Amino acid sequence: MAVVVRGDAVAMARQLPDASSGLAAIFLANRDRLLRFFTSRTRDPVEAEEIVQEIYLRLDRAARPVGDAIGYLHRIGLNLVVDRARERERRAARDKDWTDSNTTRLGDDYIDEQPSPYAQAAAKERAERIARALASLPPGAARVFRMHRIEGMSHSEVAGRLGISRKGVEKHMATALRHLAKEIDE
Amino acid sequence: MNREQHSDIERDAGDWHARVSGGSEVDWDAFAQWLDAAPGHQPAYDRIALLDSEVTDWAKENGMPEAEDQPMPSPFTATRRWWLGGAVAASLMALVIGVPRLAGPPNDGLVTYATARDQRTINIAGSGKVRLDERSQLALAADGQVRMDHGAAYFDLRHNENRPIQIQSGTFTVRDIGTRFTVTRNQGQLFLAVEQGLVDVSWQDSSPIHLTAGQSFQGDEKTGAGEVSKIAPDTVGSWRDGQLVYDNAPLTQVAADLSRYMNKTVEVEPAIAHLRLSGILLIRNGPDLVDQISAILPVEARRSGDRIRLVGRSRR
Repeated sequence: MAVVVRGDAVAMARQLPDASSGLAAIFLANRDRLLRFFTSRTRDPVEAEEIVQEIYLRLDRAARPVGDAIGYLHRIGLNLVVDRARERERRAARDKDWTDSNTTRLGDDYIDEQPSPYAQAAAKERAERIARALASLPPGAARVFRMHRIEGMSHSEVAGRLGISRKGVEKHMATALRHLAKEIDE
Repeated sequence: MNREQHSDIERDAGDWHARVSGGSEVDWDAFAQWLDAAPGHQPAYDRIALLDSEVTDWAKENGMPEAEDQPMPSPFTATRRWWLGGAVAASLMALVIGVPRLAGPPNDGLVTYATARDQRTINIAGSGKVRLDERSQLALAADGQVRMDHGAAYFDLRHNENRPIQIQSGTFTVRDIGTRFTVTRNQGQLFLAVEQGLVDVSWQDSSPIHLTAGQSFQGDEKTGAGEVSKIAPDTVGSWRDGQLVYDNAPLTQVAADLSRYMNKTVEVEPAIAHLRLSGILLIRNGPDLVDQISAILPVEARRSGDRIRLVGRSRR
């Protein structure tokens, strides 16, 4: 697990090499802006601070700046927000499940690591909902979702392959997301 | 005053996320402005971003259900396949409900009931009720179909011409003719015990076996092999009263019940699988049950991780 380094940007810069050029420099120049953005994204100033620190730690500092460096930095952070939120959810669900199913616990260690049949059943039901939602996607959206998310093509690649514009690809993805949200979480 | 609709916010959140996760240039200031513009915006975006992550992970691991390539199954076959579980089979059910499906939620009215540490009574409108034991699960459809997922259930039903009840337990189908009986499903085995009335049980497409009060059936889902035995009617579903009453019951059946109360997989060593248990066990708490059994039969429990194995007790 990465250690979050606290302290101001200058102190961070002194700790790591190659900070004067490349992505690290771009990060440092935009740190305040990133902090403001992630405060809007999370509505939690403490979380936002931790996200921004973590972005810095995850930078490939040896790499030359990528084409859209600002976008790259934002996206690392956005992925972190989601990963951390899902981990919190998982932990909370696990805690609740173990409380419900009456297992033994020694301090912070759970002796019985198995999720209860109830939790397993809930997970299975969730999986079925997801499968049904994906299977019932309109064909265009399904195709784009598969190419972009599962096969890992960029929007431009998908657009090229299907002979549609990037905007068209975006629209299909938005349709897919709307459909999934409605079917799975309504 | 123009109030934003919930659906508009959801739509905008989806649009933003599609753009942001696409890899093209984004106006990050404009995005932040939208997030801040109203209280509902950020939570809506958060929900869709998390859901996207969850669905993408699932799809990467399980593959995209390919709706286009499946041959159109007959409703009966598709229903049958769906009961067998599996997320891909579930996608066939979506096809059958309303083809072509472009919008609207699937409305098969299927409600899943799962218990943790308490029993639960579920009403089946117009037909009677089901008592679900602890750590068990079944699903009820609006048309009277029941899917037994695991655990034990005591059915108390009035025969209804308009809504015959059919229970799918893996590859077995149990049909009631107005009866009281229990269905226990555990690790690919079905245990059926009839207190009153008539029950049919069939395996896949086979012709059914008829069971009456005082009969029990134990069957293997994979092979369909089964055995009919006698059971005292007043012992059927004794777990409803916190007891397990066994009269010459196979140890495998006992193990199936134990797994519910001990919340672990309970296996029986083949060497002792032929043993039968007669006696009354009190379901006080899980581990105690094995002690009660050891007092009656030469059997003891070996625990490893999340499994318990009943083995013959060695002579000392």
